[in-house]
Amino acid sequence: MENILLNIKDLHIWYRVYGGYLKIINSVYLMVREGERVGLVGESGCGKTTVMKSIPQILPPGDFLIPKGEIYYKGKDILKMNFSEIQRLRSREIAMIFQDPTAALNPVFTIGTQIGDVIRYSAALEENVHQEKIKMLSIKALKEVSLPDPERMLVNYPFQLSGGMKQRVCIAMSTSSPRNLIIADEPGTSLDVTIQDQIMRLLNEIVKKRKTSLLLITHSLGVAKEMTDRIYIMYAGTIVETALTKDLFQNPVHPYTKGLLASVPRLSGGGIARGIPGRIPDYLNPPQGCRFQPRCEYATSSCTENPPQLIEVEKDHFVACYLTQR
Amino acid sequence: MRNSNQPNNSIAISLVRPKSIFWHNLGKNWYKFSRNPLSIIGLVIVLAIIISAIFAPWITPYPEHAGPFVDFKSAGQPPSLQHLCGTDNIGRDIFSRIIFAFRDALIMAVVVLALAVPLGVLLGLIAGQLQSTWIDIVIMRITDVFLGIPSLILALAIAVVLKPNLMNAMIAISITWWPWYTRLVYGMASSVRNEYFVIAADLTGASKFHILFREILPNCLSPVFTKIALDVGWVILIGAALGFLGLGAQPPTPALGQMVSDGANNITFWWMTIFPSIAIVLAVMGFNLMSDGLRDMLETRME
Amino acid sequence: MKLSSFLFKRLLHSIFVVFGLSIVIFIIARVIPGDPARLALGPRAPEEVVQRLRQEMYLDKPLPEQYFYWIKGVLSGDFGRSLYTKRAVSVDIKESFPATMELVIFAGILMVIFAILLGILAARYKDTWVDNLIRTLSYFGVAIPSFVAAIVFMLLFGSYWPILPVLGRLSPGISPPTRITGLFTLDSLIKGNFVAFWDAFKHLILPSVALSLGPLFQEARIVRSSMVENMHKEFLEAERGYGIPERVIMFKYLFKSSLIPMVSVMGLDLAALFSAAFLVEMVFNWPGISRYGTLVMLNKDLNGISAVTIVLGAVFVIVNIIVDIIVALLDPRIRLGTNRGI
Repeated sequence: MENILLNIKDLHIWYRVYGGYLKIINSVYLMVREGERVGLVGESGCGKTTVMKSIPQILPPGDFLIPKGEIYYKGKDILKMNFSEIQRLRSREIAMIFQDPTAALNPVFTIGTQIGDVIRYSAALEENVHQEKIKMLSIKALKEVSLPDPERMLVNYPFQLSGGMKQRVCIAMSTSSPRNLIIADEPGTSLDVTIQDQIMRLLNEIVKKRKTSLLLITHSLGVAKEMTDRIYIMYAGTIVETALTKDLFQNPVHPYTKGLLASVPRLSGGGIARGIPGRIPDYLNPPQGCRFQPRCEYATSSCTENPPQLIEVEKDHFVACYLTQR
Repeated sequence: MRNSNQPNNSIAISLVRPKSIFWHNLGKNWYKFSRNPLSIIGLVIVLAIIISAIFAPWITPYPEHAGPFVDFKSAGQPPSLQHLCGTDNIGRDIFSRIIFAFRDALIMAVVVLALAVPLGVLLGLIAGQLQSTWIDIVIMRITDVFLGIPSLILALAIAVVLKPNLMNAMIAISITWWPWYTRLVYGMASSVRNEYFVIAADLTGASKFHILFREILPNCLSPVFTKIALDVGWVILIGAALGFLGLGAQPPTPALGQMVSDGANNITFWWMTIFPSIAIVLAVMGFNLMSDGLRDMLETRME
Repeated sequence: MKLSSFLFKRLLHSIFVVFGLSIVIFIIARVIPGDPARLALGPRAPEEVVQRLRQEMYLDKPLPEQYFYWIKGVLSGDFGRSLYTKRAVSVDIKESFPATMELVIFAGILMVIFAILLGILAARYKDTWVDNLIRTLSYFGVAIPSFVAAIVFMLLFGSYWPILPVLGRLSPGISPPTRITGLFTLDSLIKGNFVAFWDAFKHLILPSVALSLGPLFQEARIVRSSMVENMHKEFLEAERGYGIPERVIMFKYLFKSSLIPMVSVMGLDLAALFSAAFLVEMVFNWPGISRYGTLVMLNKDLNGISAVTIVLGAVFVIVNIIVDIIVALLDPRIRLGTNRGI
């Protein structure tokens, strides 16, 4: 359980626009151990998907720049890997589930072709494998995600499936061959709540069964609480707090985390929840110091000079805030 | 006390005003245009052509060669310092003739587009606005018929029927050109029609006229302008094609297509063919490049 | 099933267009000032002969009736007599059409293959020297009209560098192969006549290249932009993320998704080749329908003009229908029509 699978250190990602660069991701630290389920929580626009996509290196190279930082997978820096090593990473080690299953599936190819190709090129098999075997494995993968009538599914096109079914297909593609890390980007968000619940349960089951590590990206604290062992809270491209899930909910330290927890409406009275006033910063000219400072009710002048570092406040509980030093 | 007869347009205005988007994009994206070297090259070529065409009588070395002029002594001379593109088989300086030919070509383009574009755009707007009525169907069917005929063939047929001169060539090309604009504007008008600011304007009582010309039209304009810039090049091309076959401006007036055809008849004087050809290619290329840049500039949505 | 109703509507639409076309042509043809019968027979023909010709040509009847007779003839294949070649126009057309077909098919093949090749290369190596080279070439190539290319070729290979023939379909001394399809290359292959095949092939090269040059580069740009646009669509990122190798992504997934706009443009360009052939056939003295068309036009041969215009218009329409069918087949959403699931 102690082996570190994924270790992101001080990652910066910039996005090129006409006026300069959007400095979206600013010093992100993230770690996933073997068998661990990690959650990355943050509001829309904070850069979670960008971080996720940078891991298997599928960010469009012309527009994105990584000026600083390392992403270690099993000890090797992904950013320094050559092409074939990255291929290997993508086909054997890491799988991704995208937020919008409709966008993630190619509309002009059948489900069978797409999942068949994923299986064929994942290195669990040699390249010249019998078509029959691929078909068999495809059906098996589809069965695992509880899709009805997998044989028929193979010849269907994505537009013929419902949202929930498409998402299951995406999950099937990720689990069609053994992987060490599954990265899931808000897998149920574009679906209605009951389906979302089903998808989450399915994911949970699969991860538990195969002892795969999971990096779950979500904006919902509720989902994170159910599905993760450890949570990272992200704001405007920085990690502001991280702790074991139970510790985080019992003892939030960072003002943003506290604000998030307070924003969750409770059925047990209390009225409409409090929000967090303000908006995410302008990434073109982000604040010099702490990025949360403009919205923070505890901010002082020292918060504007330098961004705070992550400091351990109790066992396995890190916070990036100057409040911890007072 | 409110005057209830006055349509309250303030709501429509407070929503996104399409016209200001147009100018906003223009200003902001000039920066974009100027950063693309190809667009600048295109603009330079186009400006060079336009300026030299306007000032032709003053800047060409031998302006009289563009009219009836014969000088057999200097016929068939290869390019030299005196005659940048050589002389043709009856002694006229080709360079000067090319510049004058551009004049006619540009005039042709301007006239053709001045005829075809307003007609096409108007029909497209009307058809787009009155969608699913018989007017729409009639207009679009006629447009389809004209689009179904290859434009060169139709232009040829018409130009042949009329006497071969510049005016008739322009008429012929205009008749083949308007349907493209109708279709373009029709498509845009149909989609813009359903945008909220149009519905809002309608709800606050704006007249159909107002909606058509002050709300829908400005939003359709960007691709129209891009297309106009592109079309100048293409009209020059079709004009040259007609000229090549002897329709269009008659000798001794210089015309690009005619000059290429003359070159074909005097194949040993290679400069007679090559330079007018380069001129045609350069013109089309210049307008293409500029219009690409124009498109990048005008057609971005508000970010 | 949605597909067949879609096709049916398309067909109906096209028939309408062709009819509209025929009316337009008819009106144009009858607008010529002057008396067609007299024009045909010349100023010295006696009046009764002219009068008889007028009656034959229904010139004394009202316009709509003239149209009716003409259309009747057209539908049964009779386009009247050419006042230029003095033969039945339908014979002229039957003779000259295959030559143009061969030229257009050849040029079309060149166009499609190279456009796709160049486009994919430019997209794959986007922003590298390969891409920049192709894009620069295409800006240039698009601006070259086919008749200019034709003339330059004529100049180059006719006068300076005679490695390829520039006139006609066959060299003098080689007799045309027995006519099966009218396409010399095909016919000679079928009969095993390799001498004729090679000769016909050589003659095809220059005009086809001249014809296809402009559209080829235009399409290459569209192939490239369509692929670039789709290149970073999410499903491709997903496919890359699963480890599918780049070449499979390029040639299979990206290509097929980008295919539809490409096919539409290629279809249009293919149809346009027929009209571009007008000038190219003139330059290379290629005995096709476009050259015939140009000649009858320049000689104001009414029957010839209307016949050629309508035939080419119909060809245009047919090609467009075929393109629409192909697009419908390619897009599974149109093809399958029904929507199972939500």
